[in-house]
Amino acid sequence: MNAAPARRASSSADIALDIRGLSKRFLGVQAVGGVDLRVRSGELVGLIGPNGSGKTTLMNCITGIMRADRGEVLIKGLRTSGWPAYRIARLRVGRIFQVVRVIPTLTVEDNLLFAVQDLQGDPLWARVLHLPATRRLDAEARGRAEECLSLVGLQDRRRQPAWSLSYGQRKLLAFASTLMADPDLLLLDEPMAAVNPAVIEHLARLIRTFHAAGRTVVIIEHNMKVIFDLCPRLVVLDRGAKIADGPAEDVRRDRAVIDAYFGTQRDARS
Amino acid sequence: MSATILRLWWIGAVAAVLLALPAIVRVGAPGMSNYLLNNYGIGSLVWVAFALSYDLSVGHAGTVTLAHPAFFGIGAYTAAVLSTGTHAPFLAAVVVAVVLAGAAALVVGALFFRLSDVFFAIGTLGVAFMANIVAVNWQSVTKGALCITQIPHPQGAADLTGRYYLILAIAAVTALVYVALTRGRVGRALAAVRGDEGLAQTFGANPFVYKMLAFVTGAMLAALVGVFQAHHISVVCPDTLGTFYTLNLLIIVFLGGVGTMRGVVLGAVLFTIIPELARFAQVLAQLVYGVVLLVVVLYAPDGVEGVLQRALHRRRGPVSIWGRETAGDPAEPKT
Repeated sequence: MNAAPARRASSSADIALDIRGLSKRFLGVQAVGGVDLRVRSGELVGLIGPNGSGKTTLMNCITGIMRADRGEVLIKGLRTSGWPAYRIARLRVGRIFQVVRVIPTLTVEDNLLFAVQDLQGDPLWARVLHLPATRRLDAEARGRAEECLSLVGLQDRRRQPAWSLSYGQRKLLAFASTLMADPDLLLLDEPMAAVNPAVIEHLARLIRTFHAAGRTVVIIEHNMKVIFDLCPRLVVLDRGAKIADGPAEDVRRDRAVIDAYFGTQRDARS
Repeated sequence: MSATILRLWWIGAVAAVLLALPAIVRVGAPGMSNYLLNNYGIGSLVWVAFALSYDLSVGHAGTVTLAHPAFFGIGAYTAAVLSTGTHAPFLAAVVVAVVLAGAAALVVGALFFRLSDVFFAIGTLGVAFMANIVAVNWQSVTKGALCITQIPHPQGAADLTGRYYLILAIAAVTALVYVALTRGRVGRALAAVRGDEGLAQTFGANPFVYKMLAFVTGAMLAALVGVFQAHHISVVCPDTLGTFYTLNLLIIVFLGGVGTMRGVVLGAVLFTIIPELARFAQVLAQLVYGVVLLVVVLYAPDGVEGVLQRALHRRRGPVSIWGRETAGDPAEPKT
């Protein structure tokens, strides 16, 4: 993996992600209600909560997939609320979706080349004309793709169309695609869902390596063993609100968190 | 023999046959050479170029536009008005028509790309109807239902053979542009936008830019074909912009294999040849044509290209069209 890019010295740049009073409502359902969250550069934060607690909606609002009703998002000090997803991605914000998503008709290698090409800065007309400068950028990206494929163990499948991969392999391809851009901030939505223990172990190793290189990671996950192993800090959402935020060991014993997952004594009596 | 050399050999062979076609039909069928060159040669190449320009949007950007004949019509009417009114040369008509069609496509794209797929199709259908209504009613320019007639043949290509080589050159340009936009970085981006627009955005790609590129380029190429057609048949009527052409284009790209150059070319050639051959069956012609389409839809939903790919697959490993798994692929989950 490449060395971490130089970090900005300003204090705002030390905060990788700053969410202030973010709210999102779907018709009558308050999916996220006034959530504040601040993630420092280089942190690895677990975002947990029962199903329907607003975790994915929050991530969608951060990455521009959805527009928040209220509140604001700052990424590396820039106010990104209202930006389209592609513009946020150009800030080197990587995202992996809950349901694995790859470009099915492209080969494994082309998936990786596509993942970085719009961040390389060559103009559209140069691409249309297939100019040598553009081909040089593609060659550079191929080198990086080789590195990423080796990391996830898919180097023997580079010429295979993505649709022909198994589900676990697609997860690994999605992860490798996200690594291609060498993102400063990586948002992972249930990366371990529906894959076997070997792939879980592999992905957990990759996340640790990525984080050890100085990157910021926010991970949504229902696999509690994985989340407690990986994340020193946990944030818990319930019914769209933040109910806990702190060191993993403290959150594990938090009464509100236990109630959210297992129900309150009052719920049990009724 | 490597795949690249084999491909170059095929391209060379096809190019040689196309270049020699006028001579071949003159020698092979002297009494019918004009009929064959006009109906099969020029007819096929017009549809090849027109359908390739259409497939940029439908097959590669994944946007089913129903307004494509409007851009063809802009080309045809521009050529007709300029050549009959101002006696402008063919090349001048090409430049003006291509610029006008490109500008019109920019406006249509800016208006309708914000809509979802179905509403985009309906919106562009509205554009096709509007173009037709304008052509019928703007009589001072288009002469309405009376049509613009006596459009001169292009200078330097007045005879049928000359016009054959002119449309061959136009089809070659269209094919080159098609290849430039569907391979490399732009091709990858179009595949991504078509496959998963949301995912493409999370990698920094702006789908609007790529869709617009395919749509506007396709419109400009359609106008180029329209200019040729006006000069070739010497008459332009409002039905040039009609939705009947849209139906033909959809049949060609889906009969041949949407999103594949060889499929679209084969579709265009078959589309020209089948009705011509079926013409001898007179009243049964439309029925024969309909049966052929039904057979393709039922037994080869990937079009002719799908059939070819499956045949080649036995020798060359896994292939797919639009992400569909073909027979014998290794698609089962293995985790």
